Amino acid sequence: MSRRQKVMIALFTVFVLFLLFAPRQSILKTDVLHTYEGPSRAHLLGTDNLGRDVWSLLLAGGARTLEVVFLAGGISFFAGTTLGMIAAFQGKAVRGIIQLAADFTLVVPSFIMAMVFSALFGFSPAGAGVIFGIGNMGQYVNQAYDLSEGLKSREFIDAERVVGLGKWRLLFFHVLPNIYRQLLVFLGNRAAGVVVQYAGLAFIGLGTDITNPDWGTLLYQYRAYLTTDPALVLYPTAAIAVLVLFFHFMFDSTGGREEAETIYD
Amino acid sequence: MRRWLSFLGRWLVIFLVASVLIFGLVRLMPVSPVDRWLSAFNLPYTEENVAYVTRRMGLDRPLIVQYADWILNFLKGDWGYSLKSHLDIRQQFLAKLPYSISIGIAGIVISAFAAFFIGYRAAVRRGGICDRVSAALSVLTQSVPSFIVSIVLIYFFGVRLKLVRFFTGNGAYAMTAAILITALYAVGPLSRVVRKAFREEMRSSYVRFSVSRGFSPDQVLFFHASNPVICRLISTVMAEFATVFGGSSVLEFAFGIPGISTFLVTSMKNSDYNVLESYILVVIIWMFFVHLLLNLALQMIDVRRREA
Repeated sequence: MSRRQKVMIALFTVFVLFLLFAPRQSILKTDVLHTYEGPSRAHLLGTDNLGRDVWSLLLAGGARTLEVVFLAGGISFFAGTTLGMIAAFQGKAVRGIIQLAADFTLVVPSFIMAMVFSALFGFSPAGAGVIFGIGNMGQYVNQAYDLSEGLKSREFIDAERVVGLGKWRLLFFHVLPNIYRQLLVFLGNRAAGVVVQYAGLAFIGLGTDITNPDWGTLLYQYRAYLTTDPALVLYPTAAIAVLVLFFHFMFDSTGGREEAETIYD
Repeated sequence: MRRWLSFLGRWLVIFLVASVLIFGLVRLMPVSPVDRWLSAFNLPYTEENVAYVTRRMGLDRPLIVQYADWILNFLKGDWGYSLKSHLDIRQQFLAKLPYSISIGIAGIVISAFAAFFIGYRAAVRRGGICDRVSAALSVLTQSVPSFIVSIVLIYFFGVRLKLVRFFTGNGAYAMTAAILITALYAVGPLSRVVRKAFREEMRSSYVRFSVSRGFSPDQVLFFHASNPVICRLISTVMAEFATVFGGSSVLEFAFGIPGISTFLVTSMKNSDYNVLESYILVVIIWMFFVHLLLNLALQMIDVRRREA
């Protein structure tokens, strides 16, 4: 892990703790006398069209977004990696079934599934997180499968099989440590995608609860004030961008590494 | 031949699994369709009414019979009627599908063409304009949701400059904007894929050989090494299409384009749940045709895929 990555991860941890624990006011309290106010001591980022504290709304939306990202990333990373490794080391039948399941999640748009799900059962970060997690699983399955397939012919795996190492021990203690780095890079990319997808879902707002706004919901509500009060649109946009950029740079292994020279250079 | 049979078989399984899934999900809903129907017509919730509607909707039959009935009717072209408007759901979908399809296809075709040339320039001139712009674009489009760009576009061109009417007229401007934004969001990542593929070809021995024989390096790369790059591009488009389609449904909503996703959202807001089951199946069928077409294209371009 490079120095830059360590710094990024430390900063990200601070950012997450900040979103979760920074002091905030009630997001339910409206104040019709003080709408569209600029930043002040009482309201760090001012107030919105209902006089709600924008700062607190952003923090609340951030906590919900983090819930979605961690749930989705966790599900697709652990389930996808496990299934991919199993597919590589098991018989043809199991592999066929796992690959079919992976294909399924790849061709059915997870955004559409999340939209349908929230239309049926109401909008919730947990529901969206689970659907995005399952929907992105296919890509992890394929990646983990390809990486494990590459390891299969290596000598140390053969040796461990001969010694009689248990199947699960082999997978989780000997295959996984060799493939998880590449998968983490992938996790960073996909987590960034989940943040944006979740914002889009909240923007469409099927079954959303207006008292529990997400960044996407806020943008939908504030879009009408772009002419009069552009800051209201700017803040949630900036929040989304910061979170996405964290994911982008935290696991990005290509940064700083030189590319191989070719005859064209 | 065997490959195509397994392709069709896989899609058949996907279609069946999706249909069972959506059928089950709708049945798991906290509110039963009978309640929804009664409340849609403002009818009192009495025992006779419930029993009558349950029987009339066929909900007293075993689940498996209901499922078979629904899926057979779907395949026969009877997709039921909208609860609110009493219009034929299939006709409504067929009327709205062209909008969604053209946003998806036009967006992806434009971006694939642009990505090919941008990626080519980026590979040849490392650190040049194309390289920097495509890298910046791919980070930027990943971190700013597309609906924000659409809001800003509407504000700037529609409200501030008053050049364009997005929400009145025949919707041509809204369609154009949605297509361009879809293309803009796909072009960054795709051009990075093209660049990477070209860089790999640059290192291959046949390119070095041709260049050392005196062919112009640019020509060798563009005319001889482009085939595997195009194949890689098509495979990436195929893998990303589900995401692109999800993204275009947000744009449909933002620009008020009467496509199938807007149709779903408005139907859901009216608690018109009959539309939902058909929507998923329409999306799957649409994905099937995209994959079929792109696989055919790959078959034609990629020599290695041809069966001996």
